[in-house]
Amino acid sequence: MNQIAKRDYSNWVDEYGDALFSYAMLRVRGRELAEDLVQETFLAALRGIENFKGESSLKTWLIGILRRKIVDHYRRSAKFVGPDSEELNEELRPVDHFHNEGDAAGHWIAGEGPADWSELPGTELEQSELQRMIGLCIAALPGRLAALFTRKEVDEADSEEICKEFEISTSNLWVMLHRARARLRQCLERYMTGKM
Amino acid sequence: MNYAMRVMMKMTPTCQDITAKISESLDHPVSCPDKIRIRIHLITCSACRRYRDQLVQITNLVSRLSDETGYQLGDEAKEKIKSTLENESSAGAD
Repeated sequence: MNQIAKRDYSNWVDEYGDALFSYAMLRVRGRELAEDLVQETFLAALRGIENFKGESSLKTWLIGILRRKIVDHYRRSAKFVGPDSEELNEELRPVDHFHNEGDAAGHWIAGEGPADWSELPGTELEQSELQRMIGLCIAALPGRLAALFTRKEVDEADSEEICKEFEISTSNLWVMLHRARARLRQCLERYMTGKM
Repeated sequence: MNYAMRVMMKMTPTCQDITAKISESLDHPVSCPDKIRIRIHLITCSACRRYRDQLVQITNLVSRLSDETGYQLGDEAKEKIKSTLENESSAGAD
């Protein structure tokens, strides 16, 4: 066992625990699951400390391990998600308001389309406050949508890589990103309107 | 509805189609016909124009989002992880 690592690992938790936990909380649902993944990350780091070459910061290295743990979690759970599962139903629940039938089918229901944000009370909000809100909105997405969306838009990973990681097709990815964005838009609008 | 109108409705994408295409256009270059469909639709549909502008705004917000969203592991969770690490490391040392 590497002596340096041995001396330092208990500091890891104090130093990087919250950052890893925040990373996980945006991408999976439930504190307990997020805590477990953080613990698994530290354990894997401890076992594989000789793989840490110091090319990146320790934090970046730990985040990389956690990122793979999160992907593993979704790959495992995908095998158990049935066509009628609650998670899947929640992912599929439409959030935008379109007419279901008639000549206007597929068009916005009058008054239920996107609001003019420049007229909402929230338009005065500072950028940092909007960012805090978008963080809360991402944390409110169904887990898989949040994981895919953050991988794409926060980590800025390319689509091909994401599809490989999550074992999904590109068209599947696009559909899920569309659902994620539709929900985020609605969530942010509610905040700005003061409905939340 | 007469035949010609039904054909028209089929040819004209709905807001539902367009919102999906707008999202897709943020992920990959959409086909030329799709690009034209989106552009024509947006000329006449202010709701979908707003939708597009708002998605772009969200993308910009998110790209500057830090991962430090301020969630904190409680002390209890921290202690639990530390003791798990301790067990693991002493087991490894033997």
